[in-house]
Amino acid sequence: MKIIPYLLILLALFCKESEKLYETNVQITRKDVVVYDNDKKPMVMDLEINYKDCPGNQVEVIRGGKEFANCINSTGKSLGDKIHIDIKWEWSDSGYYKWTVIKVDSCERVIDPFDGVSFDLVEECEDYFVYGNQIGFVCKKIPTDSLIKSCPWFRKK
Amino acid sequence: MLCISKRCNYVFYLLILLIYSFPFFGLVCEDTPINSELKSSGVPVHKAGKYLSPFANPDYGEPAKVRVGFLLKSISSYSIKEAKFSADFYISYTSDKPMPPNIIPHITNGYIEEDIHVKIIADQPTFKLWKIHATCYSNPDLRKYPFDTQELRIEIEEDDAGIDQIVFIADPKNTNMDVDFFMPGWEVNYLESRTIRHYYPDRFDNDDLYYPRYVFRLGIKRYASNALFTVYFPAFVIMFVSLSGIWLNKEHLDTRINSSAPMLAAAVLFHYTIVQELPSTAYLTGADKIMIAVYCGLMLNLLASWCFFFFDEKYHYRIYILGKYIVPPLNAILFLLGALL
Repeated sequence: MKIIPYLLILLALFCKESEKLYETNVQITRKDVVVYDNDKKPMVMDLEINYKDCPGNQVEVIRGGKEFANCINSTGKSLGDKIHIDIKWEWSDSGYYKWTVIKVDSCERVIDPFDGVSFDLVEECEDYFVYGNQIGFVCKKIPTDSLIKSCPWFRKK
Repeated sequence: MLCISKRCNYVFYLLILLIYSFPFFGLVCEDTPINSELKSSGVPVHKAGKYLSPFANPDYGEPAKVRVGFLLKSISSYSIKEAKFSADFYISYTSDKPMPPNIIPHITNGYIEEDIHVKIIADQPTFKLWKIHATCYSNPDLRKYPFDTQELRIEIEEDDAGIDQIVFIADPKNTNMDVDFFMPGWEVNYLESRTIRHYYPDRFDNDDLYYPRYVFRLGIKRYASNALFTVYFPAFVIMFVSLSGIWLNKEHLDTRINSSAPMLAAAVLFHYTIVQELPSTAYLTGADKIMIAVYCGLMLNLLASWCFFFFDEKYHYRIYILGKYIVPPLNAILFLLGALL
């Protein structure tokens, strides 16, 4: 019986948190139609968003299909505008937690499993000084505590 | 007469000696004009401008401020043991005025194996872009191994244009990793970009020029789960199996000793396997410390069994009880010390 607490602790190590949904506002920094169909209508669209409310420089490029592109165009949002997004945060088979933008404004984003183009650039940069002289910069790529506190979906562990 | 002629000879020899020793006086007396000529002999010297070095260009005017952009495409063949890795990257120079002609990045902490590994994509007076495949060296820091963070450095220098012609500025906007950048077993911790003014100890006369150097550093961290399961978990199992005999009494002394002794061999082999992957270091790595703790634990377990031979039979029950209640916590303390120190 004494071994049960230890077994529970061991089991807890393998437990993962259930998925969570988050909402936030981002700024559109790029909106490009990558592929047009035969009728010259958008078929594939890239949307670059900047998480302005999060510390550091968090940029994400999300790619969407035809319906997503048409929907984004119908919102009338353009570069520099703020837009509302829904984020799903869940455990990934790769061994860490991941986030996915599932909705932009009222536009559902259906992710193609073969989409290898969407990417994120999570970093917090600061200038690098030696003897008071700025000689460069350093960018932390692992989300810091302050970033996770204000934008918890960036947590990977 | 003989005396006079001898004196003349002496004077003559003295004069010859003085003439031939003139250059040596020059080396000692720093301020003599003859000395500056000597110092510059063979090596061209710039009389005008701040730098005397033959690589200086006093007529160039204000140095070109070159913003250095860097995109790391991939890192391959990373060997901690050889402190070596191969990198594919793009590097761009963008300047506010035309750059000196024929500039090309030189890797200072590695080499570019073949000319085809440098591809010139753009070569304009104020904008240059290269794609480079290079092999670089970076000393590993294994103090915290297997929870180590390594720094991969790529250093680039203009070795025939000094800071009188070019000044590098790290460009944060255009320094990135490629979107699909991935290093198996490692996660990217940070990236750093800096520019320094490098000064060489004299390689020739008047080697007084500073050279611009761009340093890109990638901090990579080993996955903690990988570290746990490749080093700490096997070490724990070895210690735990060895400990299993401690609950056996004197009647099973053979089994008790046999549970510890083979584990010593297992520990040595396991440690040897770890060491094979690493270079020799002057310090103990985290893995060395945990293995020292394991060796101590194994020795303690064996000692607890040997006590049956050292002491009289009337103490055997007490040895058994003491071993049962003291040795396991001591093993745990040793393991923790090995892991945390």
